Amino acid sequence: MHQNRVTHVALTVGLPLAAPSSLWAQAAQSAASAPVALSAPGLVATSAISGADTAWLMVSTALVLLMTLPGIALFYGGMVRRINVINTMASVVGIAAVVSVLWFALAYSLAFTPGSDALGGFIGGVERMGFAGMEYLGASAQVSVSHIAPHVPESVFAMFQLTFAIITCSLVVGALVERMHFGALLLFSSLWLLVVYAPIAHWVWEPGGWLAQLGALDFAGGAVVHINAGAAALVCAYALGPRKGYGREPFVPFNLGLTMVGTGLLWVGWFGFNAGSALAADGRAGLALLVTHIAAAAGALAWMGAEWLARKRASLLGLCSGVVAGLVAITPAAGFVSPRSALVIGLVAGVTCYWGATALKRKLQADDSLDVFGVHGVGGLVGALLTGVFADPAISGVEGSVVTQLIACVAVLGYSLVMSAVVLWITSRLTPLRVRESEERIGLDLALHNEQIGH
Amino acid sequence: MSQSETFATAAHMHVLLRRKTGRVTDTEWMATNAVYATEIVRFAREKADSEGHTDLLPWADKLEAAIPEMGAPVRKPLLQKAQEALRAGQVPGGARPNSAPRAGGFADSVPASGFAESTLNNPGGKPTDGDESDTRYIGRLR
Repeated sequence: MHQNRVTHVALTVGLPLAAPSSLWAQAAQSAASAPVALSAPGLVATSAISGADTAWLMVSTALVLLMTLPGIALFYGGMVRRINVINTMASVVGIAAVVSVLWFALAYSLAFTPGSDALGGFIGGVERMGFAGMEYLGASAQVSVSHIAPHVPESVFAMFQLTFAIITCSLVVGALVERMHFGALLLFSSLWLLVVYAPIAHWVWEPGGWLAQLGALDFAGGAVVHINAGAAALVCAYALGPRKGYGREPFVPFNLGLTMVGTGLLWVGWFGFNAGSALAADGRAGLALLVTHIAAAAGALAWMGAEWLARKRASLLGLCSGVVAGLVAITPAAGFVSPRSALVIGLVAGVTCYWGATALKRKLQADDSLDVFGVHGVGGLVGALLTGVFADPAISGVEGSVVTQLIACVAVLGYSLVMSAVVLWITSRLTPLRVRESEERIGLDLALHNEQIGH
Repeated sequence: MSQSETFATAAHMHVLLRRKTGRVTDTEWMATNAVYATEIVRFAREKADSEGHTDLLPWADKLEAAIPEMGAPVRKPLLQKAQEALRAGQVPGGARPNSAPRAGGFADSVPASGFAESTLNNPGGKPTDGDESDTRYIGRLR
């Protein structure tokens, strides 16, 4: 989708692009040379930076980080048993830290640089390792930018994308709570970021990525974030096995009030997630914000309706889950569809994700503890496919194709399933994945962290 | 039964079940949650019956006696409810036994059960009885 972003951005900031100034000079070239459209990260004059777009992207970055810290931590922490709340929250914080350092060290470069000619469609290069070349040169009035967003500083773009990597890795936690070793989780997340997340982000969002070249549409991460996390979660659930007592004992959630607070943070944060993915403070971002809200509301109503019909109840957890289902499904479509289409996408997602978290979950027979695949995997697939149906050329200038979307879904799902299993296997060779039964029984809070949430 | 006695009973049950059947239980939860305690009582009696661990029975009785004080409604399997109703001479699902005529007045102008009879959340017919809570978080979250 970044290719679409770039096209859009070029139209938006057409004047600077066309101006015979030093805006698009490559890092190695003189600022006085002819303007060149960037095909890789490079230096531009600071005057080429859009203050409004940069400000919006910085705000969006904070919003997306809030989705994880504390959004996901609260959302998941409320759903696990009292004896595992600390561990669940610690997992999210730990992942945020380790992913941030690895993003700086290598992952950003793998995801968002063009890469070599032979492998460029599949993985980026290493020239931005340790954020090498990411400069702000105030003295010479130059700043490095990404070729994907040449009107905002690369530091802001890299930070914005980092928050996506953090939340994607954190989402997987929902499938493995209450039984995975903390150290094994951090190791798995580290390897998964480099081996699974970074390549898929490159395929879809780097203009040279093979799915971007194919024309797959993924505005804010339906495939990169949600299908990817859902697939990894399913693999983890199968590999770790069910929690002790699963299916025989009631696993009563600690505090669904926390889950509701987490849902609120996710809902608000998603405005940064989707509207921020426009990479500009413009009309398209406004539309993305609007459709995001409509889809979330529609998802909540659809889930509530389905639950009402099936169980004669409208649960708070169901409403929260429906909100997330709608948000997940609109993610790939946000910059491509109209508000009416968003309503349909949200309604379809609410029902299908309810099915995913109940009937499909029973069929799969995996203890995907907090229904990551049922909500994010299924919601991501629904959203990606419906993007192909509802993408409006009048909005973005691109037309959707269900076949192309299907190819992207299958590719991301397949790669994530296989490589997540490989990464998990490697992790298991280095450290035990699962805690001892006695530790699981007393709870991971005490067993692993020597802390308790209180009474 | 005092709270400390309930906890002592739950602790005894925990130890016995661990030794006799290998089942690991949550003592604190057993002493405070009626649904869980009911399930443990049922499990203990089942094991006493099927595997001959009769020393579980008195502790199951003691724990059962403490359940009403745990503050949550005790859910029983539908079959057990039906059997008890038959023994008591009631027809399961049938009409309520006639109550004595009321003295009259404004309170008599509305059905006796008021909101409990509401079908607002059950447009298909009779109100649900809430038995789903027996299995609410077993094997599923949503």
